[in-house]
Amino acid sequence: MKSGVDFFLTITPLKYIILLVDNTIFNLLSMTKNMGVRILSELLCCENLTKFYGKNCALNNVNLTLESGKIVGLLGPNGSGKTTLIKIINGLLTPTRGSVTIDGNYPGVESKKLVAYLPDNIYLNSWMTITQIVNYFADFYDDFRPEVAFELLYNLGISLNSRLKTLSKGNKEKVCLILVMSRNAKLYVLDEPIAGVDPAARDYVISTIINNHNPDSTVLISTHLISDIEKVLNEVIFIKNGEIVLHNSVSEIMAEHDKSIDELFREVFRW
Amino acid sequence: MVKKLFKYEFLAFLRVWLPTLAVLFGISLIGRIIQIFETDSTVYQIINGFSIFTYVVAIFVLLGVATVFSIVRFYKNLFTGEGYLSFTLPVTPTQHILVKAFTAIAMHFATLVAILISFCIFTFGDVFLEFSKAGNYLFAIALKDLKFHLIFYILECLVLFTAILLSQFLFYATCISIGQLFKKNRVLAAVGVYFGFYMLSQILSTIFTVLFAVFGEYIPIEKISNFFTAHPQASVHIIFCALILLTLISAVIYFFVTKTIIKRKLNLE
Repeated sequence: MKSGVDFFLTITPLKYIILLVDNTIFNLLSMTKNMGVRILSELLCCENLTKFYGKNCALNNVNLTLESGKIVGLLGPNGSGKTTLIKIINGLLTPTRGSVTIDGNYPGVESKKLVAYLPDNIYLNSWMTITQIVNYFADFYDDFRPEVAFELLYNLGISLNSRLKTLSKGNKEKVCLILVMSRNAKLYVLDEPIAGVDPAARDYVISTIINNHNPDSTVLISTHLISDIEKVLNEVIFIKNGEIVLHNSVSEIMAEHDKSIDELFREVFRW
Repeated sequence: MVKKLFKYEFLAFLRVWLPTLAVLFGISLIGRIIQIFETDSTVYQIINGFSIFTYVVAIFVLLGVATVFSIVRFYKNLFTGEGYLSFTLPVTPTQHILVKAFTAIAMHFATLVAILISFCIFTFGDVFLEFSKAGNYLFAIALKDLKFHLIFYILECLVLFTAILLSQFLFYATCISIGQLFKKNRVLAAVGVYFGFYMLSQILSTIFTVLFAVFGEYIPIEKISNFFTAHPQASVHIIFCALILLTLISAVIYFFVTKTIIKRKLNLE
């Protein structure tokens, strides 16, 4: 038996008006909710980012937005502007034009608390022992997890009392990666983490990244060794001559082009 | 964060400074032991002479370590690979520069204290007593003549010395930072900037001297001279304060040049 209201709705044209208003309110609420989620999850935002080195344009009007919880590949050949973009994100370079924000903060003290950065060279004090370096990170970064660092170092078989300068190049790079991934950061920016390492070490690097990053964070990995890393990526950015030529999710790219990311990269960046 | 920066600056400094200090104290002690066996023999004179020479060299080495290490540390920690870590720490360029500057100043003071202690070791006994007596005598005379002014002179000397150390460190920092603006050979460029500044200061002082000679008649030298004669102690205070002010102004200029380059023009290799 229909209730009085239902009966009223079935017999009057008002029901259409009420349903229309209801749908509109629902849609508006959904839109606002989605917008809110989108704004909240916008972790990295680059607007019209341009960088000139003298007369050479390294980045040209880059607009980029990255959301939280993604592993993103920043892919491009040498000299395409990957490192320039990464340096600007980390406040190591000042853009000629445009702006970049990390969780709403311009590069500075606050943004540096949120970003864990791995440069493409050894950047630690070589005279320090491994324990001193771990303590150094623990002192400066509130989100650093020493227990994670010590466990990873133990698994790697590196003596905590050994000085960094006594380690092999490969182990130095692994120590750098371990320290970066031991942070509970919002954004991990890894510049060429698998360049110059053997295939077995690449697997170690990738597994360390996957197993230790904060799941709510975003990992931005710059590389040109795509086949090794594409299986772990959610999104890819193709950068060419300082311009972003493609930014999409891996699944959509594969569905649209029916190619692997590596194959598409070779096609886009063919000489 | 500043405390933590200081902690690691001192750790880095002491790593080099302490072994040099140990060598200086060792040489002082050996020198003092040699003096116990004092004779008129030529062998003793040669050995003693050599120990005094070594002691003097060790003092200069320790002073050199404090100066050279502070400059090298500034360059290496901020503008080489280590810069990628330093500038991604949640600290400002101002904190980096000032922590390095004040660590360098503190280590120079520590060096002076260490030299004083080593001197006490080297001259321990009758010689030290003679030096102490002479020092006390001179201090007593100065206190009698200058009264409370002496205390202010000592304080002004300390402040001026600190200001000079700060200004000198920031001058080197400015040269290194300007060197970073070059695409290649940045260290060489920094050395070039240093000599460029030196030449500029010589040219400016020459111009100043010429201007003084030409327009000297317009300067009331006589009045100034009379004031100095009438108030000699106050004049010394004025000179000290003027020197401190000028040194601090130069330090502020160097600081802002360095900070601006680091903040706006940084491009690590």
